[in-house]
Amino acid sequence: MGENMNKNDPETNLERDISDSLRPDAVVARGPDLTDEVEHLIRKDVVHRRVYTDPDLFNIEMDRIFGATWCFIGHESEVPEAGDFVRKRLGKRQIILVRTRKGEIRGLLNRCSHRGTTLVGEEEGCAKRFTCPYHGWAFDLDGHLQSLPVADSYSKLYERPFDLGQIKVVSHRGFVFGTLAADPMSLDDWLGPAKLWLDEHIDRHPGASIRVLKAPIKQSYKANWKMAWDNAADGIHATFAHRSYNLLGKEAETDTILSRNPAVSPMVGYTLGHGHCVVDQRPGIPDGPWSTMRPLPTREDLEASLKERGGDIPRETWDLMTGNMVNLNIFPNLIFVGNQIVVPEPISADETLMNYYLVMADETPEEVNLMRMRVDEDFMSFGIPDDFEMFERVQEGLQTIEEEWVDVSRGDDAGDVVDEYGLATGDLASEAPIRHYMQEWKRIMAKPIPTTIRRARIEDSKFMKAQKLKAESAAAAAADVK
Amino acid sequence: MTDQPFGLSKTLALYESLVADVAFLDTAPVVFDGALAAEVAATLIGEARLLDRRQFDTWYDLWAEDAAFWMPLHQSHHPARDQGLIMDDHRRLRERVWRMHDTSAWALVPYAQIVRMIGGVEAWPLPQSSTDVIATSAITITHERTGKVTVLAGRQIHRLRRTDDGWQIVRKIMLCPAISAGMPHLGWIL
Repeated sequence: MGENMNKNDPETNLERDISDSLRPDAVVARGPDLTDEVEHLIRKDVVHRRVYTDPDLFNIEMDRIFGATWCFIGHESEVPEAGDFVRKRLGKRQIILVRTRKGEIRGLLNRCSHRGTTLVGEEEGCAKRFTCPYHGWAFDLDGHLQSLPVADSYSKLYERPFDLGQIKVVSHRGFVFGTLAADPMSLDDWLGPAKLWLDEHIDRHPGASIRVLKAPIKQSYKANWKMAWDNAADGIHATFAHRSYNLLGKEAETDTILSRNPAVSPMVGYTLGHGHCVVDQRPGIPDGPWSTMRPLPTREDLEASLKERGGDIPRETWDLMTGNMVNLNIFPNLIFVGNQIVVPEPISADETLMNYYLVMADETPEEVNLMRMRVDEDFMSFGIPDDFEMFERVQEGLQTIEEEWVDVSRGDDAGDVVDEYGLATGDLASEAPIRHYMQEWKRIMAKPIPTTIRRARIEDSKFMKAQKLKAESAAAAAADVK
Repeated sequence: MTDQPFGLSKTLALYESLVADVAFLDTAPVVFDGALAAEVAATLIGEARLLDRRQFDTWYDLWAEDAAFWMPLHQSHHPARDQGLIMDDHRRLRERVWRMHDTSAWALVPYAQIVRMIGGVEAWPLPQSSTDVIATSAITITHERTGKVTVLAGRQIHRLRRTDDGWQIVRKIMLCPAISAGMPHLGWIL
């Protein structure tokens, strides 16, 4: 077919620029240049309220930060067998994270390449293929179009490839990150020093074996997604916002670690580049995480049963039941707290859905995982609600348009130590992590970022074949001239 | 040592039994003991009123020592394999009651207005027990706080124990479909 085509063929229109989204291999950078605007909004130690409240900025975030930047998509353990899939989101886009017959992980766009129907309605499942319920198009697990009814009713079927769109996915030791960026930096570069902390987190589990439970606790709050980000490395709020949780701990005669005086806490925070940061609470708890464990449902029984197993139960095993007291935050949507990984999902400028996934450590006595389930329910009940209350109150407060600036200066020139790479080490009260990710937000938001949809068999499309022919004949003509 | 399950097996036995209470709904006969249901309904309605009116200490006194309050994320979930929203014993229920009165529980002050509507109460004697019965009911909860309204519907499954002082609550399971979809926090639920 392709042999008869030339550049005047109105169907293929070979003059299309690469940025024309009708091209199968289109690379499109969308939206306005915001360089001047973000320069105005993000200062060294104050942030403009619009960063949290403006719906137009939110829509651009969904394109540039949740789309054209590496985002956490899911964990490989959620899809252990071929055909297993989970439905995820990257900004507003639905992603089918699936394991193919070859065992590869793919991030397919949950959007039929025909008229746009979502192929999968379930949150998770196992499939042999994805069949569109609307017109019966069927796609293989790797996104190839397998069959479509009455195929001979198409004259232009191969002008555009009809295989499913995909995002680029790369795993780091089971953690799957994805992006639509046409030319993303390597995931290693993106993670930078945060990778070492992620590795340490993984290696804490015996056999480095982590299993993420598929069903997260989903809870929403009426405030911007970045409230969760501001909070994640904010050590000082724990004393005040979580006063109730701390008092509860005192009633149970266990000091929660949150209750300690932040001014004298030896806990330490580090910024890690690209907006990532970590708060290491371990220096503040010399007796280890297990020593902070409150009486919890089933604890007495499981503790007794673990001791009955005899032998020396290493401290690491006990500590596995509580969190590891290292809060690692990988921008923009992967937060490690306790035994959970938390994935903030922006819904609108003033609404966010938080997904709390529980991580299991499989190569341990059964009691450990049973206890882990009960541990995280504790803070969900007595801690998270008070966090959400603060997020919503800040969002309400930021409706005062005349009070334009949010102060994030704590620690700057007052305790923070900044190294030659610009990375900061601060005490628990420092707001260096907020200033740090805001600079990354500014960098990413400043300019349109070229994105592309990956798709199988793009080179087989009528357009691309014609492009190839055109290039070949141009090369031949050039050779003739010589 | 007694014959009672201990340690790990005690925990697993409780979890299996909670799941069995949910499964019981699928096989329970439609023809039920109307007199028993009426008696149990009075207790469930009374429980709802005490909670609506913030009489948490009186409500707490209804609970048996071997209390279990379970709110799974999905009605197919198992407490030994899935995280839940709530899996409380008697002591943690006490903590929830404590927090209801705590003026630094920022998510709970100012206090909410809540109305629980209980309907469709059914009850059956438990064959293996001379004192305990199992009951189910539908519940709709309307919650208002700081101008925001949350409506939550669900199915409750109670185990109640007949004592000389009236009915005790031994277990309560709440199956609320909206939790799976994601909703505002339920830090106020009891």
